[in-house]
Amino acid sequence: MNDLIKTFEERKSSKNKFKIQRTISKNSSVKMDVPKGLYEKCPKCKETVNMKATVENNFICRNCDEHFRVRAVDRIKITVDRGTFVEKGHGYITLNPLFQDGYEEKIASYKEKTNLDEAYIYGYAEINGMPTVIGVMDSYFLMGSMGSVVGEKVTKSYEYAIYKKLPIIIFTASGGARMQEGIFSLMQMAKTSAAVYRHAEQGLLYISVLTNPTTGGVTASFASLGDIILAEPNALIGFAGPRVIAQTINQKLPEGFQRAEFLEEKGFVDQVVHRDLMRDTLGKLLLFHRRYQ
Amino acid sequence: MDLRQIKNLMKEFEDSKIHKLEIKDNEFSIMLEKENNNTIVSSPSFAPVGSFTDNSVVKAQESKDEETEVNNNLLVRSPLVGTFYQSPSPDSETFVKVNQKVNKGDVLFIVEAMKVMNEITSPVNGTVVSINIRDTSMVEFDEIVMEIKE
Amino acid sequence: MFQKILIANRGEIAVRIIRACKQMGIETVAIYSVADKDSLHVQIADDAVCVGGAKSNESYLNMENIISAAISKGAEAIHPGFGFLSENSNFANLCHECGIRFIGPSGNVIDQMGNKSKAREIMIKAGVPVVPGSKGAVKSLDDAKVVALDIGFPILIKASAGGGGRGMRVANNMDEFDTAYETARSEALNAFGDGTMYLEKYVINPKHIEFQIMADKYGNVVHLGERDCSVQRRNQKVLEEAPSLISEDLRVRMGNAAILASKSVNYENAGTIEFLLSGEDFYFIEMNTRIQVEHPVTEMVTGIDLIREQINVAAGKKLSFKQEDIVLKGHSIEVRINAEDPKQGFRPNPGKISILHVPSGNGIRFDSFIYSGYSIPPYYDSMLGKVIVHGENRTDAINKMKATLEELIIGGVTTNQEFCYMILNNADYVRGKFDTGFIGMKIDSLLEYDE
Repeated sequence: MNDLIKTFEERKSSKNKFKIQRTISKNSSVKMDVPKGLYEKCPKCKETVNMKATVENNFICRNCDEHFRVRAVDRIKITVDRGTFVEKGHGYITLNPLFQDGYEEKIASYKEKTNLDEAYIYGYAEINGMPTVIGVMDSYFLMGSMGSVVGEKVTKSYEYAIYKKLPIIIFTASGGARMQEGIFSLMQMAKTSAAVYRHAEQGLLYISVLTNPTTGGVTASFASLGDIILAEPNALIGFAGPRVIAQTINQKLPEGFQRAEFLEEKGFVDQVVHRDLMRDTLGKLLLFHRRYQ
Repeated sequence: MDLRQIKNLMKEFEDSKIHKLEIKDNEFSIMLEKENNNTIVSSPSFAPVGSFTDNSVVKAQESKDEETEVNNNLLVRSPLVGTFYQSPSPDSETFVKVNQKVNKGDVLFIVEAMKVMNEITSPVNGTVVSINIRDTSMVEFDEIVMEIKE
Repeated sequence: MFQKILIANRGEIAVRIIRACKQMGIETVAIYSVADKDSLHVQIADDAVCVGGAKSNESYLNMENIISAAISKGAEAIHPGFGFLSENSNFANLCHECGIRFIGPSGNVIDQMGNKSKAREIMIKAGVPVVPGSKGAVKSLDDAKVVALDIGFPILIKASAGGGGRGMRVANNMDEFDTAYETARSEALNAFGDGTMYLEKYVINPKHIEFQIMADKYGNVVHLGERDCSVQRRNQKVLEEAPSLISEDLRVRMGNAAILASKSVNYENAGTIEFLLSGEDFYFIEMNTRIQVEHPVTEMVTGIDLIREQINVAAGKKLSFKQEDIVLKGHSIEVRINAEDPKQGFRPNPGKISILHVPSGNGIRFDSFIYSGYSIPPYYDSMLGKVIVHGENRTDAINKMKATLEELIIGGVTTNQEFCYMILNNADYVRGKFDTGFIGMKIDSLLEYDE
């Protein structure tokens, strides 16, 4: 070891008797510590990521580019022009038509947790100056499942767009039709599909954006009926679950099955769009399809 | 010096800013020189010898001191700065004890940083020989936390 | 006052800050990479934490490890020095979120001033003269061309997120414009992840005059005079001096502009306003929101310990001086000694220090971190130390610097010591006839020294 380093080490131990013993004051008003929740582990790459940075980065892991789920309000915030969103369709109340045990309690608890009335919100907005109706499903509310209220609101979104002669963009994120409402949920598939058709009849544009995960009855109805279908990278998009499919066809499923890129390759998705580019892509599509009244 | 060590040395040399490196050992010498961004390797005498030891005379700057491990145990070092925890929670059993056999992939300890728990797993199969850090105390980057005998 | 400060830096500035803390009775925690275990700043600090691998982004830029170190060691404040994380607003904000005082301005202010085109906009609004150019960022190549026609050629196309001379291109006429713009833009995108550009009229060989300012949290802003940093090689400063040779009238006007600039962003702590001087016209170009390498020359002519003042301000104290108290006495020159070979294209040349002999005397100062037997790690910048002199006037300072460089011995590595000595002997330099084109023009004669 270098002489200088040795000397400093020796000096440190001898000078210690002159050091005033300080006690770390416990009652100091400011305690140095990391606030809980500031850093989390990315479920995909397992790296510790700064959550604030992730939020500012469109809810994408800075390390591995994993697109995290986005709440409906946040999705609108990062997609539309600031201050242009006007929410429509308030005041819906979810009922329990099949008298399922615990369903009402579940709804109440999700309402509190998410501060939403249901798993879907829609309204008027502008993207890069282009007006449109925008609807977003929220997977944090009971897995984004579609029951009567979601189905009704989705239908009303298209009807509003017809009324205002506007295009419509819907972001889907859903576990499928809501089991607790049984046939009422399934019926929403037909209802929403009919609404899509009526909107299309007016020559208006419908862009469907499939986000992770989009499955079941939502995939099998309005989500797949877009004039243009976009998807987010690596989003799970399907109808039946992979295990059921594998068992039914008795074959091993191919690599990347039911992921956005796979669907793009096969032609079920027109384009996989990185979240950073989503706003501009939508803006451009709205511009191309602009109608002059 | 074996081929793997030479390759590592060449890589370190390539990545560093130094342009000439000469190492002479008892039975081995090597000279690496960069000329116009190309690395020229000339090795006038080469007789494979054990490990890169303290006996070597190093001219010019070494980019990285290779550790002389008299210690044959595998050293498990902390990959970050944080707090060392021997058990998953304050009242549970420790992950491992001294003299415990571990398999590759077993969780040895936790380093908590930024309130995120990082599980550090064993890179090999072996026996825990020593635990060098006190529970709940701070660990620095690269600090030797545990030693495992393979 | 803080009881313990963590110094998030290395080398010469880490030593400087640790010394200042020790002189104030504040405990110090050093951080180091595995390559810096033997570095001086680690030896003299009260405590030290290894924070990562040799590469800077694994250690000195590793925010999480540094914060963890500070919290574990109970450091109430972090001094970031210069470079590394000193102008990283994310780091400043992270410190704040964790209850650690960042010794410098807020993350918000760092952001504002770090975005060069935004800073320009703010200055224009505040009435600080800027180089004629675009109002803020240009929206596109076409937009840029319209602005270019307005300003007149030659034009300097600059990156908003830029620094250190990167993301910058000169266009001498409209034919060169497209290429220059696209090249600068892609360089900026690659280096900084941000391709926002702005335009300035290209001032040919201006003088680089910068003003040191210090502000406390109570709104007091004082300037401590200027430094002439025109002696640069490829946008890297080699020699700095204080004061410059500007008239007192210009000093007052520029000083006021510097204070105006700082107040316009509610600045706090130490900062530097950089101006270009062309004739009697001065223009704001950037604000550096950190303590700078060349701070010692200002310390010598004002008698104020800037690092100490930084710590005091961060601890909530009022500035210990008013503008009237600032008197520039004598003249100070600093020369940066780098481990490089000027005759080989200034190639960095790390090695082991075999001998170190440092001169001393009245007004002689050597700020460094090297010691005899120390091996310089090749992973970081090549600056070994700074020689600073203070004389009664500029001639005295030049003579003192020459005498000091004649006596200074740093053996075992090739340095630019002789090269700097040649600058001090150059007739034009001595006459005060130099601008930012000085080294470029005189390079051949400056390299005519014996090894």
